[in-house]
Amino acid sequence: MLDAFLSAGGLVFQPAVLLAMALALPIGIVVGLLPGLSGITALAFLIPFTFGMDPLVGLAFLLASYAAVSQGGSITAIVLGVPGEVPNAATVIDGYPLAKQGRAGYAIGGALMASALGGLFGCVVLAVLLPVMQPVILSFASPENFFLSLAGVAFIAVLSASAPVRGLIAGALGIFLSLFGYDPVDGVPRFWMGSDYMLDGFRLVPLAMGLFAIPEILALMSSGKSIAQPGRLEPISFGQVVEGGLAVFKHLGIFFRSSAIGTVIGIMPGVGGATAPFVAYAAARQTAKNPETFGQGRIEGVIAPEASSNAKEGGALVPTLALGIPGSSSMAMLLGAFLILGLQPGPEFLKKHMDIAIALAWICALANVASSALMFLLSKALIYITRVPGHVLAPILLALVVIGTYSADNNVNDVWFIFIFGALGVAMERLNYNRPALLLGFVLGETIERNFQISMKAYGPAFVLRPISIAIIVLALAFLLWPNRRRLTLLWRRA
Amino acid sequence: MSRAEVIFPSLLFAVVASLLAAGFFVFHHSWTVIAFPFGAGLVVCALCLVDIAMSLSGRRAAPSATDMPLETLSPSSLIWAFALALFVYALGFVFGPAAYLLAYLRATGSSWRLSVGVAAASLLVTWVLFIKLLRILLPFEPLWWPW
Amino acid sequence: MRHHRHNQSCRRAFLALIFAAGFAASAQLTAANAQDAGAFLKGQTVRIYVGFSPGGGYDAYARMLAPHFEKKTGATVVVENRPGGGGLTALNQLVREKPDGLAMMMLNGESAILGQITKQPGVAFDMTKVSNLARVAHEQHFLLVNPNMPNSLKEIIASGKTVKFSATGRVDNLGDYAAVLCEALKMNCQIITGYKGSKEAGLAVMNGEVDALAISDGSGNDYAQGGQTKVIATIGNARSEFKPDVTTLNEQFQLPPDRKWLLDFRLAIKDYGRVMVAPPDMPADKLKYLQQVWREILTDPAVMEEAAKSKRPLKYEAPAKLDQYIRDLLQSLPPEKVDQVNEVILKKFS
Repeated sequence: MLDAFLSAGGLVFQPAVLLAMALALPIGIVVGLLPGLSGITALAFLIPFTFGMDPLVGLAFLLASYAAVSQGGSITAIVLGVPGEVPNAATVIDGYPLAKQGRAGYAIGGALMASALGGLFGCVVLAVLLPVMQPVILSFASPENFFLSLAGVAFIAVLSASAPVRGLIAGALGIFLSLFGYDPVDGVPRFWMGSDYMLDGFRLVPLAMGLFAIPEILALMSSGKSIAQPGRLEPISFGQVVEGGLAVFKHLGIFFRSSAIGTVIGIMPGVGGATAPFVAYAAARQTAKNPETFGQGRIEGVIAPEASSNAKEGGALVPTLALGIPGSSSMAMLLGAFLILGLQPGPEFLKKHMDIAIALAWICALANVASSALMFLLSKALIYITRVPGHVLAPILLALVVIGTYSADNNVNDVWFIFIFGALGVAMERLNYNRPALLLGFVLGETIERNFQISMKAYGPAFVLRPISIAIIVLALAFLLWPNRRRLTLLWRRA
Repeated sequence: MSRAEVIFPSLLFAVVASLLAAGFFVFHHSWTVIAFPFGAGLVVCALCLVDIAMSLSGRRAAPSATDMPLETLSPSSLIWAFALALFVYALGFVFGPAAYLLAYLRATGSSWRLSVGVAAASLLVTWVLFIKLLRILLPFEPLWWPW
Repeated sequence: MRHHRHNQSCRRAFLALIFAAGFAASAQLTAANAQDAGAFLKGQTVRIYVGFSPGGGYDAYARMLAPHFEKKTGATVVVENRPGGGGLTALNQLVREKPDGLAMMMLNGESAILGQITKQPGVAFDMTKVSNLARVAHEQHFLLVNPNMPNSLKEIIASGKTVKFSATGRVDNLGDYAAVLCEALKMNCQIITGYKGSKEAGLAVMNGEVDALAISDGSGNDYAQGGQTKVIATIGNARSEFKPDVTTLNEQFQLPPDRKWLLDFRLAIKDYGRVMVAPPDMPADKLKYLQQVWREILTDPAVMEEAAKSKRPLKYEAPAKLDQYIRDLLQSLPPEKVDQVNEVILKKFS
């Protein structure tokens, strides 16, 4: 085991591999900074360049760019209030208010450090667990995925604790919207109304961009002022960023819990990876003092989603490498790249190429740290964006969102839906309906139905009695009721 | 503000309810197909009614002092924010954004230098970077162009 | 005397000269025609649509072949991913494009044919009108089962137990194979649809949630690694090069004609396979040129070797044969057979 580790290290620290990573990082960061373009898009146009590369070099190139993209995406979430990718939507909740208070550097520092360390955490766990993960992955089937997604819905309630009815409306609406399109049992496209586009229902990227980007752009246009409100400006310096980075160490409990959540969710192939940051955010909020100040610029609200979303990618590599089953949609693409490069992930792969598998874990870790470092160097320039006047920044941002979203699926209708969901997003923002809750419901709704239908067909109603399922239900209930534990114990004692 | 607080959930209720009705009576979806949307839609509608009731009876908690106040929206910015769709439809993905940027920046008082510069940068990014280098074929022609 | 011989040899030389000149001229003309035939592509941008997101099999084939097409024709090739509608929305869009030779599609031919026969919502194309350029590949399929299942199909059928299959939908190249298999072998089956993708369907066999999966041989071979699942039959007209020891259904069973027909029908659809197609009503010269280019690329030994190395082997078939397949599958089927196919694939074994 140790020699696999060492020989993996030897594989990684070669000039070709390191050069590939060095090239990939800036590309990934640029892609991440463009709203609408996601890690998957980056992988899509980088994969052709890896044809004919040595397998490890090609994979290093792809993994590094992928890690860098999520860093870039976190930055736009904080600095612009626009999630670079869907998982970054949770970072917007507290990151953007910090930027508006003129403390973008602080938020960026926290995000970068949390991402770097969270990614490291995920990759270390990956390396350690790879040899033994198979039976664990195999014991999570559709019933467990159903209860996990259902538990995810419970987090909607937590996200919206300050305005419960409106938050639940948002979450339920998200679930409702996710069910448009093909139904999992009969393949009947619901509410498609004769349009090819609606056969698959609404798409996630236009929804996320519309909900989050359009209201912020509109606000910038209305005020004409920069994102950082004048009068609250601190001089731009690295000091703020460093302070933010150190904040992670002041909140180690939250960091480790969020990383663990991300890794676990990443490992399980059935649960959508986009839920990890939301779950981590909700968990951080549940266990913190003064939870009602979340949403106004708590650094924990940045650390938690950032740590978990990077840890999740390390976790997602586990089933990908151990079973050849992708842990996330980006892993599905990466699997394609593996095949192109002549490698075949799965149990045989681990037996024959454990050193390559661990080398990938190394690369994953290094890429996280290196891209954070690179972003740190660029942070001053990025903070400056929050000082650009709104009437210059807003139209540029809007154009980028539109172009980026089109690039995802080459579909013009995606662009129109940005504006349709934009109208919804503006209304929701004005009237205090929780937008992350809608997004979470949208991500989970389809999964819940799918897994429910399969579970009923495969096991009958008895599927609820499976041991792991029961454990999940118990844990979810405990999590929900935790803040009220004193009240509940009093009730218990009185009874 | 309080009028909007009633209008929005009412609109939501109307849209969701009519979609569900269409599912049952127009598209004749079977029960397995419509069950989950029905459940989610029912929750939305029920909660909307609760929301409307709460707004009408005035039992809404005042926003807490720590909430940051939202900017009032100006009608012109509302139009501009959605106008890019029209520009893109009329002029395509290369000239549309460029023309939009030029128009907006000039309309909000930026100098000719800045406006033309940004528009030119947009042309560079869409045409050179996306179409030529990355081979992401942003539609060059206007979207109403039938040929 | 000498004068006469001189005249004769002069005349011969003259004739030879004219002959040679004529020959050279006609050769020049043919070469010019051949060059002209491809002139409409030189320097143009050609799009190859792929109905799935980047990273999948069709995408990989398209991206592997694109540089070869570029080299042969001087065009710039862009692989454009247009996911949606199970890979068929892109075909809807292709058939509306101008037949100018600048748009093609790397198509899941099996899905397209099945979609048309079973009248799936959102099918706005007619495969009898689409221009076939070449078949790129086709695969045999494997029957994968959970390791705890019996080792042979005969035992499974004899036990009478219901065999659960996983699929993403009824017409997704997983569920329809399962349905045809179960009907042909008169097996008790339940096809559980709703899995997100073929990998999740494979995982379900591994963890015992379902018993079996009918999947393409390449993917099936991957999932059979390390004994996670086992392959007990080849669903195809020949054995698969991935597992040459696994017998085909026809080798294992002697099926009566009415049941064999259904299996053969599905396998005939499979033979159409992964195809390169162009919009309907292509002008004859452009169509011929494109077909020729693809034939040259797909039968080039160097290209075939490159493809085989990346586990995406090429199996070329000429467009004339593809047109024949379409006619047989879509146009010469009596209505009661169409009904039977629809019944088995869409409704039975739910």
